[in-house]
Amino acid sequence: MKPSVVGKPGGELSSQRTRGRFGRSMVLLLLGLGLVGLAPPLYLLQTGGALTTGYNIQRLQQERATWILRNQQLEAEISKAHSLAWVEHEAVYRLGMQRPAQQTTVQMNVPPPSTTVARMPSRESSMPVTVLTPPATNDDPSVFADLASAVGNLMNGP
Amino acid sequence: MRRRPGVSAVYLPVLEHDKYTEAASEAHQRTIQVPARRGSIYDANGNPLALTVQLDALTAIGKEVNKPDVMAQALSPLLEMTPPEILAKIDPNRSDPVTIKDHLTAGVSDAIDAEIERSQLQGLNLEARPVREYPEGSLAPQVLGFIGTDRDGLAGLEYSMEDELRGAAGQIDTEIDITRQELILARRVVNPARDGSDLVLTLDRFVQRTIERELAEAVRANKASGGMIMVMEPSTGAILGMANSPSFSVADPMVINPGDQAIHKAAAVTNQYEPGSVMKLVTMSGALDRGLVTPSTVVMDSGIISFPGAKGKPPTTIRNWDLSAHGPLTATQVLIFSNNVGIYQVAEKLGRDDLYKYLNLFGFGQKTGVQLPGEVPGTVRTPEDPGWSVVDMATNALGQGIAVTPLQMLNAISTIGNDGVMMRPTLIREIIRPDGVERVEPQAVRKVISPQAAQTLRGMMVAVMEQPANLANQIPGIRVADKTGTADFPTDLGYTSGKTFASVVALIPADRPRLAILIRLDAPAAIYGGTVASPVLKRVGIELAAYYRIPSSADSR
Repeated sequence: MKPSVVGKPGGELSSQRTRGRFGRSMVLLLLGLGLVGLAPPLYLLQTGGALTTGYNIQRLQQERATWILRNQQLEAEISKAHSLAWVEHEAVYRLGMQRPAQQTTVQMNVPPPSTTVARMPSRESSMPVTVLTPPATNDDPSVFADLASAVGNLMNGP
Repeated sequence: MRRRPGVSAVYLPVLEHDKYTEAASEAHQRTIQVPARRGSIYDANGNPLALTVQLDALTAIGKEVNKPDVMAQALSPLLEMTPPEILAKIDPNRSDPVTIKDHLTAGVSDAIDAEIERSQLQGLNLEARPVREYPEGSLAPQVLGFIGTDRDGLAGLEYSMEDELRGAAGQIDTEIDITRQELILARRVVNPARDGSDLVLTLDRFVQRTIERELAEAVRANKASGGMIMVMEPSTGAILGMANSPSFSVADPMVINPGDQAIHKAAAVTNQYEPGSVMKLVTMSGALDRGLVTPSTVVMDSGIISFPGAKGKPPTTIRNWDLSAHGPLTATQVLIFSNNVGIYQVAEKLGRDDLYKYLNLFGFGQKTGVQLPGEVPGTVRTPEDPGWSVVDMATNALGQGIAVTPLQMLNAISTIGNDGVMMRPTLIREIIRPDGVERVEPQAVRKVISPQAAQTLRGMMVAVMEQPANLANQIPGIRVADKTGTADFPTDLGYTSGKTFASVVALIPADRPRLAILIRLDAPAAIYGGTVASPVLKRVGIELAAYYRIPSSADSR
């Protein structure tokens, strides 16, 4: 049997569907409009933020450059203060030092340093220094040892 | 020509596209050159000898200066200038900046900045400018050289090592806004700047300062027209010091005067001279190396050598410097008395070809290859040259008629000190580049004489030094091998009388030489090397032996 066609209920359904679709479209449209409306301020916000950051970076780079510059200037001044010319100037004019009129050379009767120690130094800081360790002897007892011995003798009696 | 709008709409964006695109780019794009930092120069111990720093300069725009009197009073103590001096630099009609004072130190610059802020001074500006600073003052000016206002090296190592020191400028592409401010986000580094390389020299500031001081004193005391002291390390060829007089100051701002070029040159390599009796060491070393003489070999000093003149010309005679005749002399005594007739007999034993072979082996007539600009090879006339005669051989053997550079002479002596192995002289120990360090290793050039010959010759030189006449010039506790030389100034008409190059070369200590030294005084009042140069050697030797902790010679007197 062929089903009967009912006009009204079917029309209401269609109308409801149409209204629903329209409503969704309106929401989407409004949403879209809202997004489009928000885009320029967001873009401006983003650009402004980036620009501010950029100028901050620029300012910090300038500050860094200034400090590097100042550091180099101070290093140059320190180098001048370490120079032999300055040391000599201070020694002569401020401290009144003079070159010795006579030099005395003391010749020590010790074997010369080994070849490795006597090589030409490459840097002042790495200049080889011969450290002579005196041999351990008991020939010369200390004052404290003498005192301890004397006290011991007193305690023990003659 | 006016175009219709439709035509313009096509014409401008399509046909003239490139032109207008370029114009638009030019309007907002900018290229910034980033200057490279010029490399620094250090001595062997890392002490800076030349640095590039940005130092502030105080400039004033006269039209904008609001309180000139207040400004002059406030800045006077900081600038170390009187108020009238400051005011004289400010022209109220000028709108371009005028420098009041440059080379301001960091402390002074800060104080001026604070004063400008405090007193609300307008029209003043602190501007950073690159400056070549010399922390040690004017040390080794002929070696370091100097740069010009365009920052390019003009002399010395500043010139010869320009490619290393200069670096390469960088480039930044950026954009500007309508207020002509840079858009920092648009900044794009196209080429980063590459800073110049730093040079670490073999020069030691203490050695350099010592020899400069002693040279200045020696020139003054001996009324000489100039002079030179050089110190080298025989085992490496490293030049530890190179002083020249007359000199100049790199620390002072200067205007180049063409007449001053002679003192700007590194005379150790650009000027040649006749070395005199110092050359007898070369002749003797060749004969020792060939086994033709020993220290005790006897030659006969008749006091005169005579060479027949060519084509009716009078004969040429060579006499001893003191016009004496000693009779039989050992080879050692030939050096002790600096005997001209004796050394000619040694040269005769050696033979013409071998004498020039050894002159060649010792590097005379060739450039040493040191890093200084303008080096000359010297002048050696050989038997192959036209006009050469046996008289040339006689004079060359005793150090006349041959021209050498001081560095060649020092290198020859250094070779004797290095047991006969010649090293290439060098002034540079390291090149510090942004991408790594290149170490300049000691470079052996060739073996010139045998170690035995070198040691024997040093023993003969010690005998020269230890003569009673030299007692006052000995360095206490240290055996020194030395030889003096006195050479007449050559002129167009022959040799002048009364003007000499008085020199001495030495190896310290004689047994295992660590220092080779050449001292030369030009036209001193007392003409002989032994009289004027040997006392300088003693003073320099004492200082350097203490500095390098050279141990006393075991059997020294």
